[in-house]
Amino acid sequence: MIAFAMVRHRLRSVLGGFIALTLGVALLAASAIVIASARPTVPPRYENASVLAVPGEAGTRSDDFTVARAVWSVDEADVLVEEIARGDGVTDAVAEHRFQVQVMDGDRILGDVVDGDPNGAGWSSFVLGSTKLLDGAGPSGDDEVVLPASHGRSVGDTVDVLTAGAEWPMTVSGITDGDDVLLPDPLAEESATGVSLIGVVTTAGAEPTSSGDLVRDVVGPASDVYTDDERGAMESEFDASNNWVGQQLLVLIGALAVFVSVFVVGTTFTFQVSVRRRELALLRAVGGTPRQVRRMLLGEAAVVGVVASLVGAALGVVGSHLLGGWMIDAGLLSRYWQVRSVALPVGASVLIGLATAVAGVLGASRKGAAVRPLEALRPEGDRDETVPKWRLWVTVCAGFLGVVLVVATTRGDMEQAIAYGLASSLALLVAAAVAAPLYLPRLVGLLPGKSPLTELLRAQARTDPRRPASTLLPALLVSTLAVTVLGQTDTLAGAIEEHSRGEIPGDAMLVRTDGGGGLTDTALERTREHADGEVVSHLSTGVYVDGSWVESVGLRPSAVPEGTALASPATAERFGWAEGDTVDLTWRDGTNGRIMVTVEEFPPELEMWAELALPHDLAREHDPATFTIMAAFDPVDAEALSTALADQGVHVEGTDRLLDEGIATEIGLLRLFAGTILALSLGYTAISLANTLSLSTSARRRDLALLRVTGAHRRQVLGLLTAESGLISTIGLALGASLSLPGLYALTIGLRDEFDPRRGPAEIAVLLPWPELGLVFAASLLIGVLAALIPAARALRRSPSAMVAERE
Amino acid sequence: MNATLGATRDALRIDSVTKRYTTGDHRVTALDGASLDVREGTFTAIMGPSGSGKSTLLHCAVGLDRPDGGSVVVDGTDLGGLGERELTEFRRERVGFVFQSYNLIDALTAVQNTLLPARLARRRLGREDALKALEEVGLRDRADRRPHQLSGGEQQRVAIARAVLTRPSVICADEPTGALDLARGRQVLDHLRAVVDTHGRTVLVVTHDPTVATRADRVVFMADGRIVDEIDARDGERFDAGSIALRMTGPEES
Ligand SMILES: Nc1ncnc2c1ncn2[C@@H]1O[C@H](COP(=O)(O)OP(=O)(O)OP(=O)(O)O)[C@@H](O)[C@H]1O
Ligand SMILES: [Mg+2]
Repeated sequence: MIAFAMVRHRLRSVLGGFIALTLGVALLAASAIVIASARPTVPPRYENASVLAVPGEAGTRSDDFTVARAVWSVDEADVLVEEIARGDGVTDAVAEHRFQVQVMDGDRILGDVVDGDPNGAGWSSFVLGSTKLLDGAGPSGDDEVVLPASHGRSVGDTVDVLTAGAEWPMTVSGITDGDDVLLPDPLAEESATGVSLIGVVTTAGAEPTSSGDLVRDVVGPASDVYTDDERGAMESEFDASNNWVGQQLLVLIGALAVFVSVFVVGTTFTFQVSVRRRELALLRAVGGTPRQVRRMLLGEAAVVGVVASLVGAALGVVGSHLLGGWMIDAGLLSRYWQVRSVALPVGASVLIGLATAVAGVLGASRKGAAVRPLEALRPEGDRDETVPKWRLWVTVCAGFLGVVLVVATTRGDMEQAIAYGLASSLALLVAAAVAAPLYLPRLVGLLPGKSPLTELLRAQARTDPRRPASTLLPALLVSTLAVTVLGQTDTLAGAIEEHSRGEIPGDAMLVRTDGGGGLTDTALERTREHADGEVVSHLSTGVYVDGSWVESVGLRPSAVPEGTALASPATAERFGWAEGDTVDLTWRDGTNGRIMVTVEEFPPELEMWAELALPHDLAREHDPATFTIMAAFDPVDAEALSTALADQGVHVEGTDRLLDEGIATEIGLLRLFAGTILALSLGYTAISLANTLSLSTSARRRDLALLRVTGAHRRQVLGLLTAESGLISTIGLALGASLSLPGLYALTIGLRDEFDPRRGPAEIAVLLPWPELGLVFAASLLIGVLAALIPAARALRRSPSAMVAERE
Repeated sequence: MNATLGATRDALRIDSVTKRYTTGDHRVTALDGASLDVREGTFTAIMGPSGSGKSTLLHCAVGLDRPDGGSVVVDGTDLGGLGERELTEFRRERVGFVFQSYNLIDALTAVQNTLLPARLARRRLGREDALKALEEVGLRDRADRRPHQLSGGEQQRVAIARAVLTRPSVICADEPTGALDLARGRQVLDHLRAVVDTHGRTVLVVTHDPTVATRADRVVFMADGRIVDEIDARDGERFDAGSIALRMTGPEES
């Protein structure tokens, strides 16, 4: 009852904490819903299959992230499928032949870009999906194809179907509502690289688990068998469209929301306690034990926390749709994404919101409980002047952590350096925030001027340093984040700009006109005829040695002697190969073979990802499904070549321009992160400044009134407040900026070895975007001054006597 | 006579209590061996010049403050032996307190303020009991107002209602009429007197006003942190405002 009445009474003063928490929970809930909904689901193309079997994992691709699986050769798969088809309740067992495909109508590319998701398959795969045939029928001859409706063709139209190594003019025999281009099975089989998935459709009554066991028995323990919802595991492997970056952004938003909410809520409630000293003392005097006082304050926080969390959760549910939509547009989220999971993430966010409120009030409640009953009778005097031990401890620990993180920043790789750099700034920020009551009065004491008002300012900072300290924090927070984040972005962008242009041979490259990735062999062939000298091309593939994945590249033409493979020294060491050895391996398509290896240092652009290099034709022979990822050359006549390549869906582009674009995309992503963080922290600053300043103004009403009574003009009083909040904001901004510098300098050291090692350590300079920073600083200064002036101007509108008479 | 003796055991025994304050390098002795016994069911007024230690004595008597030396026994309980929590619980069970001002919590209505100690003590007292207590101070119709909607005198009376609600044995008031006009001050005193006469409680009041003191059974005078003189109505001494004022000037001059 008491907590409720108190909260109601002090609604205005807890408003800041309330809004901060509401927004925090809303952001957290929205991020959590997006993340939880992004969990893999069964893609439509496999929805009808009750069991999916895939070969076991053999390692990861060169990004150290994407799973590389073993493969069944076509013969192996046929045997397995036959055996499975004999099982009880199995209506269909399909060895899927999947491959990259491009459908052309003359020079026009049909269909949208599909990211990392080969969308060619055999007609037999159709039964595995929930996809429906909208018109026509399956292919009946060798020259018929079934297209998704998104390709915009009708039954009877003719199209050109391009795979990596072949090209067929075909007639459209059917239209589906799915994503796949379905070819006659014999063509699909020759276009695919072995078999990577077996799908099983069972009769309606069949128990999925027993069908699963049946399939498991057939394919053996080395393979993975998924039934029911586990089938969703397939999505993450096929459709990995940038989900990773998106999730990082979401986690960052969520973590920042929690960090700042704790910060703001903590300040709000701590401040509350000092404003309410007299009330708490009275409570103690009439018999409230310290424990009861503590519990009352916690109860108040819980009331605020519950209401704010619930409102925030509601906002978060709405926000998740917006956030998700925006992220899909920004290419940060799979196009299959939709809000699927709400209860769990919202529940978790509400709990975190509550915990945040309670954590924020914990320190405040202890302080409140320590108020002695007699304080109800005295005017607010000097507070206990000894520095609480915890302040010293936290300052020292956070400062130490900051230094450790700065050192870690200089040692880490690029991602670590960025993360540690940010963390070091935050740690130093915590140290500076906690220690603020210790140094702030001294800094304010340096204020020149002998007018009675400045003297008052100095005296007030001395007697109650916590009040100016709490107005310092928002400015400190925003400036630390702004300088760190913007500084990191600019420094990194500068470094990438200057050092990360790889040496790509030739002036021009081939690019897909629709922005997708992948070149056909025909396109390479024609380019070779139009190039001045060699065309360097990369076919990204792999082989298996002793069952584990070896990331390989198909090179053209003379880099690798015919019939041999080129191993990097690291790869040779990994498998114990010596120059000239003939080694056993399994090709990408699951067939076994032998090849002679030569050991040689790879050029830098290959060393980054490939472990083994094969002649292009050999690689193509065993991996017909994959488009070539890159072709670079010196063109004779770029225009003419582009025209000649139009029916392959590619054109010629200058290498420099492409690199610029690539760098721009990379930097654009950085800026997106930075912008998000900044927008969030500026918003929070506004709230939290408005909050603390309106609190502190109402707490000082009596003082202001007395000033007026003793003869200060309204203007003088307002001027005093402006000077005060301007001064404190400036101190906060300057301090925050300087806290960010160690992390930034450490970053330049950490990044030194992140670029081409051949050129030695890179010289990297700290770059700060002054115009943006100036804008951020000006904005927070303005917010600070306005937040001090508006409540004061309102309070001062009344006559001095009315203000004095007013109760607290 | 014996019967009355039995009925009038001591509700409060203050024995050679000392209290010193140190501010900077300046030491103030607020209480310098003050001793005072107060019989149960009586009304005692404490008078004395400003700074003589009256408030400090009262705070020590009800456990709001701890003396540096000496002992305080309230209703048979030695406060020196109580920890912070026990002291708080003792306070809310056994004593009531009325301050000169700032008695009420702004957020709560008159009834809620009245009920506060009972709630804190988890007593089974409800709104009805609080209303009855407010009725006794003539404020039943103001029950749901918040402090800023009450006059100063009404606020003091709510504080008295709060102080008596839990039926404490001792009620202390520090200048309860200090901020009030004569009529309102008299009302407040009437209520305190009634607490003694009809409920048999022990009341201790600090005051500067001799007419207030005339309502007491006994007046004690303080100077320099000690009890220096007293007048007891039952000893048959002159007990009017004039003689009290006269007795008060004595210690003040010394
Ligand atoms: N918190 C404190 N710190 C320092 N000195 C104090 C404190 N409280 C009281 N004193 C000193 O102790 C002495 C007694 O104070 P006390 O409040 O008991 O006087 P009083 O008799 O109640 O005076 P008044 O009639 O003015 O209320 C005074 O000299 C006062 O200055
Ligand atoms: Mg006093």
